[in-house]
Amino acid sequence: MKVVVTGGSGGIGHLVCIDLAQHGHEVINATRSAPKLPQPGVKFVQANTSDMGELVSAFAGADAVMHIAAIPNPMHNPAHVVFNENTEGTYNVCEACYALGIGSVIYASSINHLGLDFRYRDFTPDYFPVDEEHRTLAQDPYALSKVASEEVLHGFHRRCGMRTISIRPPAVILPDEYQRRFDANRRYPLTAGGFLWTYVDARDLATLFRLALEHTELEDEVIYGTAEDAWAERPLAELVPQYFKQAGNKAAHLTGTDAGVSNAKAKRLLGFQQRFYWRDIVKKRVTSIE
Amino acid sequence: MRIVVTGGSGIVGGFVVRNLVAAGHDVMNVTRRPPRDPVPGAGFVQVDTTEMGQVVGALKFRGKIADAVIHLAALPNVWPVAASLPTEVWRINALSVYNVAEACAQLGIGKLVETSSVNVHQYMRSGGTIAPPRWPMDETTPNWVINAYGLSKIAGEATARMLHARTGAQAISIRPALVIAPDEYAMRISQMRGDRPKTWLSWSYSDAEDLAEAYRLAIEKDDLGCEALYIVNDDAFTDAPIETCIMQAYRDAGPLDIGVKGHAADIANAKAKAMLGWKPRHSWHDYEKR
Repeated sequence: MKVVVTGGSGGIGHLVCIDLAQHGHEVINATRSAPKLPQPGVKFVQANTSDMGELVSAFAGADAVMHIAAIPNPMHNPAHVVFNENTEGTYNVCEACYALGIGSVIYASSINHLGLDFRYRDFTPDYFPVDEEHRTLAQDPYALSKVASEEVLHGFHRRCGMRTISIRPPAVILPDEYQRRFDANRRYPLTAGGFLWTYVDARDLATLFRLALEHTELEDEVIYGTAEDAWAERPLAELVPQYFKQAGNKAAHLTGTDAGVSNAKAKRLLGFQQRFYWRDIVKKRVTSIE
Repeated sequence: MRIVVTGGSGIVGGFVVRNLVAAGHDVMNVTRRPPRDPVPGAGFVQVDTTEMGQVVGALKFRGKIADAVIHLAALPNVWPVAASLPTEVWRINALSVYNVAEACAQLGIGKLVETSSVNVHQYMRSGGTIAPPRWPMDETTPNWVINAYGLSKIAGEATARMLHARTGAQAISIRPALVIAPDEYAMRISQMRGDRPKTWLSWSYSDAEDLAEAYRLAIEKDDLGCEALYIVNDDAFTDAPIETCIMQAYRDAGPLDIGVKGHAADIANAKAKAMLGWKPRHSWHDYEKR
């Protein structure tokens, strides 16, 4: 397929571009800055998602758009800029696809649809593991932009039957980052509670995006793109009540390596088979639970 | 203290941020572009300071209001930026300091240090025909400007006075002369001594590290009111006696009242020493090749 990837010069976008090209798709990276890393087989076109006209030019002739471009967190931009740019970007992408009759938009949403990482005031999820049925509890501008963007996508599906799939990744781990992040997690094991002790290998995530593209029978879905095992050495039944003081028994059933967010839907709808498990990759100095 | 430093990615800004972090302050760099070498311990927020909303969103960021603001963000009088369109220099510089002061007023921020310049005294640009009333020049010397940059610095000082008048906030305008960073001395010395020796607006100079120290003192001390302060070294950046330099440069300006001689600088730093307890610690002679 001919696929345009917005934000293809950034972290996740780059991996998605490479993976799609390796699997025989014709890939165009439409981003405001040229890629810093080489992208064999990927064409670059300069386009800013704030400009509807640039997107129309960039998307011409495409079968699908993977919309990944966004401000990736609310830590380095004023709040209204984070919300407005991210939401405007998604809306412009959808409207440009509508104008051109492009049938599929795959969107990089986030575990922060729930809104835990960058919250202003503490809250506890309603239940564990969190899944796609869980309501949003977003407070910060980044999480709100993900909620708003997913709503925009649903609207375009309703408008014209556009295929709209939102993939919600958690913390994405690049292959050479495992040891450093594992060591950091070991020093502060509760910090990962901010993202419910989830992770996904960048290579698995790229696969998830491609599966969403290729499963053309799916119409309008949100799907958590996470690993099935927790990014933790202790069962979440122990860690959840330490991090979430109001959690009570909500996570008592999360024994073993059960994750804080379920990837059952990704397995069911996309046939996702996780290839990379942190336990296989990280060198450990003490035994963990098996 | 929680201190916002606008323009923290620039040359002076880098020294200021490092100085504040080393002194234990919680520092946020507010900057147009993400810093190339972020200072560990300092966050950053990407902001266009000509946009009031973004300035407010940075001074109250993720729910926390800054205790104090150091405003350095501007188009500096340094090549190649100095070749910017004068209207842009005026617009960006005057509007940015206004937005910062206005945001301080709206948010109840009680301390501002903004950056003025020796450029409020551009007498040297008169072709030597117009002289200040006396030397040493100091904070009582009448302003005299011929271009947008100098005017924007007068505007900045007036803006500081407006803030102080409106809210009683402590508002200090720091006036550096030629700023020289440690790794710039060799270059500046060869410019000063070259075949076609370069002259600046005065023979005073500001060591970048000493200047950063002055910013910290100005933000930490209380009860300073509203003042402009020259932050310049004790000695002149020239080999010839200062009275010779002055008489040569202003030979067409009529009778001169010269109250400095020998190695003394042509701009007095007594006010900064008295008000801040500041003293310069680095001389250009420390950096001369033996």
